[in-house]
Amino acid sequence: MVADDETLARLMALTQRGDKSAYRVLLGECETWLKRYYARKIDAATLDDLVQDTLMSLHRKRASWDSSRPFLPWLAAIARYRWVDHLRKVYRAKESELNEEITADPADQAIAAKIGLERLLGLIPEKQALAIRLVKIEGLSIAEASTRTGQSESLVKVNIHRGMKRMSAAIEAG
Amino acid sequence: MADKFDLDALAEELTAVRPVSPAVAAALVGAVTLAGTGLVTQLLGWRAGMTEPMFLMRTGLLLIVGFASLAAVTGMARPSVGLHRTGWRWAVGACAVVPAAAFVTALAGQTPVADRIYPGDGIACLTISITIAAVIGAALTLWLRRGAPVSPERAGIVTGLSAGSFGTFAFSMHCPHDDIVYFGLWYTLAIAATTIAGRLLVPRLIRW
Repeated sequence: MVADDETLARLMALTQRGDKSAYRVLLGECETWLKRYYARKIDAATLDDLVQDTLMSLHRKRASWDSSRPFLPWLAAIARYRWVDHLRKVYRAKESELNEEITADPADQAIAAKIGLERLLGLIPEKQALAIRLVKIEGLSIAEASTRTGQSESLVKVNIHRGMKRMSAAIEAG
Repeated sequence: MADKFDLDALAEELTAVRPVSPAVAAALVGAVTLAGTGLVTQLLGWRAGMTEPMFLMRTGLLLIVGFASLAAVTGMARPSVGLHRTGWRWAVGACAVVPAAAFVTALAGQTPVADRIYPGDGIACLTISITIAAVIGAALTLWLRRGAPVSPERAGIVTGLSAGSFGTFAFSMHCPHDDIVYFGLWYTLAIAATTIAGRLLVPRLIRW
């Protein structure tokens, strides 16, 4: 069970002041939260790398948290940014190793519903979201996605490209 | 295994940080804008007619866009899901009335447009406004690098917009022209140029 936002915010405030023991607790809590957060969207092997990347980003960008605001929406914004960045890198490398892994969120349903990655996909046009889901989450090739959707291969590529740009711009949207 | 990522070691590296402060950004922008204004007015002189309605209106609009986009920049440095920072768009929308009105006025007016835009002065306006804006934009970008903008492209746009607005404001303290066709053209061009430059240059400097 991850600590509530108030506790995390208190730990983060101590972290900004240099309290190492509070920071260690915070990192553990964030690691748990992030694993759950990414679980449905990234295959198990990649998940650990992405969680690490996000924790490193938390470390480097810890000055950017505003103590007058809640902590989890800040962490979610960082996590979304890293996720979109990860997808972009995978796309550029023409890798499609991500597996579909549908599991129910075990806890924090309200937060997950508000700041979930699925919601981010819901902010972009359906055809773009479908192309991203098929190629980048289910791991289909461009040709397979083209057959599945009835879109031409170049349209699938265009939809992925445009969808990624829109998601990137919409990271902070509720 | 990736799970063995050493959280203890990361925690040991911790040092205290001063939270990213919007006040610092505002102070930086204010200082450079004041310095730019001082330089322009020292070299070229203050304009006459500091209470002309058209001058007051355009100065006010420049400040509104400048502050609205500066607020967006400082907000973007401290990301948070669920926050919508659209105020700058409304400010830009309201100010877009100026070039639109300038266009209509130019078409409908009796005086030839060529006699109203003073190309020599206009080029000077562009050059000086953009130069001051470049310094403001550089200061703002440096500040922004401490933050965590999650939409670097959008952050680049508002950085360029804010820098352009304050740069043009600095020059406007000298600018003697109150014809809407003149400043509707040249001020808009200056701000558009810095906004495009911000979109093209800033993202690669602030990506993290």
